[in-house]
Amino acid sequence: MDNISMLFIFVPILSLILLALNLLLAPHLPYEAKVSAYECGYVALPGQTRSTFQIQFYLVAILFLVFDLEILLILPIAVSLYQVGTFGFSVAVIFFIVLTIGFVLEIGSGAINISTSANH
Amino acid sequence: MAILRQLVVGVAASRPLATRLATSRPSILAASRLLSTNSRQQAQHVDHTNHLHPGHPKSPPLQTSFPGEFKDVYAGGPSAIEKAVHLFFFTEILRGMWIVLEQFFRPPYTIMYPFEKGPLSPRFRGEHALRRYPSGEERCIACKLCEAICPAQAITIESEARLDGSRKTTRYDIDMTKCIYCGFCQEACPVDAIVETQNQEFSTETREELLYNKEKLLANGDRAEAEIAANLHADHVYR
Amino acid sequence: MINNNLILIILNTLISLIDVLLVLLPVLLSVAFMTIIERKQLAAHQRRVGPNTVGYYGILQPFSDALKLILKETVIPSQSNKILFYLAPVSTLIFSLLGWGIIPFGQGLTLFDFSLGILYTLALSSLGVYGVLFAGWSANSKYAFLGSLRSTAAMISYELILSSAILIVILLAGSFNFTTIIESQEAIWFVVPLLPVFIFYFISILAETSRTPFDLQEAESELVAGFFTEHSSIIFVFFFLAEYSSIVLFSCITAILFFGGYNMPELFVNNTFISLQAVVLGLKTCVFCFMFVWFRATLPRLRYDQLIEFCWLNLLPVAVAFIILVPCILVAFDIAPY
Repeated sequence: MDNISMLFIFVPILSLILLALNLLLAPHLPYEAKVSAYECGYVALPGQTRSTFQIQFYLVAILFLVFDLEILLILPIAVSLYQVGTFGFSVAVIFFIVLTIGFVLEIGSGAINISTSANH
Repeated sequence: MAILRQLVVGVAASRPLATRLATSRPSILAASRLLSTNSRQQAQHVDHTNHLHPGHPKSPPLQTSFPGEFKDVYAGGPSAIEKAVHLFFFTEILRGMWIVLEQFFRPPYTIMYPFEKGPLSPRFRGEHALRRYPSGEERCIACKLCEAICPAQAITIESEARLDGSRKTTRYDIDMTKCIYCGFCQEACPVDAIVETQNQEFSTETREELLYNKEKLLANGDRAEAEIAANLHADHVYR
Repeated sequence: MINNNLILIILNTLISLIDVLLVLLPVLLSVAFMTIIERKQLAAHQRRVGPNTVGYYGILQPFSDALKLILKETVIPSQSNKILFYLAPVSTLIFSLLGWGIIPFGQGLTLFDFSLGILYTLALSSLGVYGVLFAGWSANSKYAFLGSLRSTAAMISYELILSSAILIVILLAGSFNFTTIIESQEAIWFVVPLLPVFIFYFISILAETSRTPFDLQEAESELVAGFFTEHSSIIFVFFFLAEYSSIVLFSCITAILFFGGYNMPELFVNNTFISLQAVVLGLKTCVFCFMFVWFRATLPRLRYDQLIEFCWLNLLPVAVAFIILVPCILVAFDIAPY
């Protein structure tokens, strides 16, 4: 088996060893106050923890998805720019410019606006 | 107006070449810093008659213009290239980082506490002690001034005539956990009996050991008499 | 015949185990010492001494910290998802340590001379975000969840900038392989033509590892400790180790991508008895680790919306501009690498 497979096996084993060391050597005495959620003194109601969150996080994730895929699709040009020459380069640049127009639209419409008036 | 302009040019002409080439304020400051030896002579003329903003160098005077004349209000400021350089290469952050890097190479201020200690003044108020006269007689005459003035009511005194008729205490307790170490008792005492030494390292492991009684206080005094006397002598002109 | 094969297989496995240990043990040591370096260096910048009691000059401090944390009780919140709670930090550490498999310490001296090394690194940094997300979600506490959302959003935003910067370096180098990138810097280090790219690359790795000035997620005044509020002893060690391992790994990658990796021009002969190339790479990594802590000592934090705004409205247009500019220059002057 080659080096990379050994790395892939060894690193999880290492972390599991650390985990096992802790499970063996550390005390384990849970009681009510210790295992309750930490909310700086308040009582944590179980209904509020997985409630809705702000839409801006979702928007950031969607935009990340789009732009990350765009960069991923430009990556082949990065290694083969010499082989595809001017034609391939112009294809890539046109693709990129189309997506940049979308980026301009996204900035202009204010999609990235984490601090809404509700926050202040 | 031309005379005014000539005056300003005359003042500006005394600047060295580098600062004259650099036209904007931050560049002038940077260029003048590089020519530090003659920066005093070349300092800009400060107009002290302006009381609203004292000490600021005089900016070029506003030129009055007739309607329709093109007046470029951004004429004296930084150029676009300068602004772009400061924006993209975050020069003020780099300047801050240089300052922090200088601090990296300087010695730390830390005192290694148990092995090195900071300086203490002779007036330092620490652990209490009861003093004696050089003959060995205890100084305290049970006047109870210290008990009266103690803000925390930490001192408890009971007194009785001693067998030879002198007025002495039978019980002199200071509760060190109530004491606030203000020094009022040592200021109030007319015979300099109760004093505060320079010792602040008397921590104990049980609370009872911190309720000092007369023996403990007298023993403190006997142990530290030389130091107490030296501190009193050093401070007596101010008391 | 079968015996021969078996012996060969066992020897092969042993050798690969030794190789992995040869890389991972110094990496773990360097991660441990990175923690004490940070504390001592921050203290030096602030004119004080850091920890100096445990070993000579406090060198054994990380080992005493690790020992203490291993012997401490792991408090599992009662309402958390137990499996995910343990899995998230373990996965963060695993993905952080796996990144060391392709770092070249000499010409071709890696654990795995991968022709797609850059993709491997980008993939691992993207997978590292999962650990952050699951940690906050599994803790089932309102503020840990919020902290993990903010951390995740910040990390994925700056990953775009990271990918763009790396893309531009690949444009100049012509290959995804780390050794090829280093060898193509023989003429000049990439930091010289690509200085603006280096600037926003460094900003993005500061944000990827959640370091100041982008560490509002961990600032105590905000959300106690962000997404690892509920995680105690050994679980916290995993996050801690993963963060410092990312710091050292990204410093190493910075040295490789922009500063010539293990090459020092005109100074070292390749066939010396002891290869000094790994030492050169180590020294360059140290310089960038120093810069990480130096930035932490100097800068205040960015508020969270300033952070997101800085990435999407200020950095990403610059990155996009460079992604269009650099191929244009390469094609116009016909200097694309082959």
